[in-house]
Amino acid sequence: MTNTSQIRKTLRKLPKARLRHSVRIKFYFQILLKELRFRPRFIVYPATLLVLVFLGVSVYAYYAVSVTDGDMLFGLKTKIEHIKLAKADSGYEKSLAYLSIADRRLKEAEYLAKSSSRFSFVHTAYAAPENTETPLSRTVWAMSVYTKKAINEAITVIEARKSEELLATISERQEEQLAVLTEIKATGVEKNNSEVIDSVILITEHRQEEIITTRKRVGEEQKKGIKNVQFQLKKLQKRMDDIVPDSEAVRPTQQDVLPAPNIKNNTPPAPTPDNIQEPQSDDHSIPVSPSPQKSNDINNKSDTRNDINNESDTRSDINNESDTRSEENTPEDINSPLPENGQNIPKTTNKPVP
Amino acid sequence: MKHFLGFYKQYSNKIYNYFFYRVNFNDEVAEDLTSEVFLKAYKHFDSFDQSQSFQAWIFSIAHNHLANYYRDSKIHFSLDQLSEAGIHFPDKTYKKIITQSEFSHILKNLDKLPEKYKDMILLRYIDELSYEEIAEVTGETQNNARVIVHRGLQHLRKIINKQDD
Repeated sequence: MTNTSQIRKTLRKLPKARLRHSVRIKFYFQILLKELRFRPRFIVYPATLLVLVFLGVSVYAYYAVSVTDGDMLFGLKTKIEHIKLAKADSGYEKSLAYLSIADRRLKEAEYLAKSSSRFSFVHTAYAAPENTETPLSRTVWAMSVYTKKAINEAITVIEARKSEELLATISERQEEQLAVLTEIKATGVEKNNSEVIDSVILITEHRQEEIITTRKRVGEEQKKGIKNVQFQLKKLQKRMDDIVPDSEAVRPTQQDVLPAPNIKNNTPPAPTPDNIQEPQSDDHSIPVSPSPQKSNDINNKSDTRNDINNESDTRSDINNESDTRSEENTPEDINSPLPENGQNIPKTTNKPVP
Repeated sequence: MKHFLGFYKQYSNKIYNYFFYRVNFNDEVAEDLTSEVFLKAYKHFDSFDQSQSFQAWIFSIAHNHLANYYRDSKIHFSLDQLSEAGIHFPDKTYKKIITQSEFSHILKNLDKLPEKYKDMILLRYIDELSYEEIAEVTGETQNNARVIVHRGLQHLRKIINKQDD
């Protein structure tokens, strides 16, 4: 027999349904829309206008070639680029994203070179005698940095076909970069810019040679039926690090005072992979030169590169090499003097056999 | 708006639960009806007397809205109709009800009560309204509401006992 109190108890115990969060959010949104509709025009319109102006400025900043280093909107441009980079989740996508940024920097460099003749007085004032940086030099260097990053990401792609495709694209872009840089140089740029452009041209030429060699070797190995091309890519990475280190130098801000180059001794230091710092902010400046004592290491390394070019070397050799390099890393080298023309490139006379 | 959203946060689950038990545990319909009721309330929020209970006010809107919904949809809703038809609803509450025999048993028997008793019992024990609020929602007097609920329970007890025998 059931009594009334038992029925009451059971009724009270009946489960309570709960509204889903998505329905709540939808409702909040509906209310917000209704609120906006009833808001006086003088509040809604300026707010909408502000949003539209911001969107417009962002689109302009991102797409305009005239927004270059030193421009007010350049920070916004690089922020958008970083968002795009963050969205790329695979090595393949990241490589393409870096390459796209490098393309932008190239176009900006072209624009800066053209406009520098018109606004040369601005650049002269901008670059103090002890400060060798100009927007053009920083842009050209940033282009080189991003190209290197694109190569690094391409090397990490495991799928041989994709990796090969990326290297081919990078190779094409580097050809284009070389052509544009040579053209810029031919138009007659300031000495400071000319030095950086020379350096970047040399670096790019070296990279181009290495990529072509690797592509040939990969092709040969694939013909032989060897599907794993990671070994060749690892070698390429190592050679790339010898040309210009994995983390190219950039100074965070142009206001930083750099020590003047060591002209008296006339023995400029050679860079090593270890004395260069990672690009930090949106501001890309010219490389910081390495310390003199590292030059010996470079020569040693170039010997090692000879070994790598030799097909007989083993994977363990490469691993040992990279271990040794990590031990050499000294933070005080970061503040070493600026390099002279082309000195930021290691003197690697042993070019790979094509 | 902030004030209203505070009320929404506090009472949206209750209104959803109110509809849920009256539209055959159909969560989608209950969600839609809940949103419609609150939008209606938002539209007429200026006319709400702040000195009175918001719960009673929002339940009377829900009550009228449900009556309109029944009229427009021309469907007779019963508490155990769909469970018998074997229609599956993803809602967890519904799963709890059909998996626990005492709940499904009492709801099936509650469905056998006249509409007036059933509604009053649901308002009192599932929606947890006071007799004062029930009176405001249904338009009955407080005493009348109390009597109806009491009679409804007696009636329900008889049905259950008869079934058990």
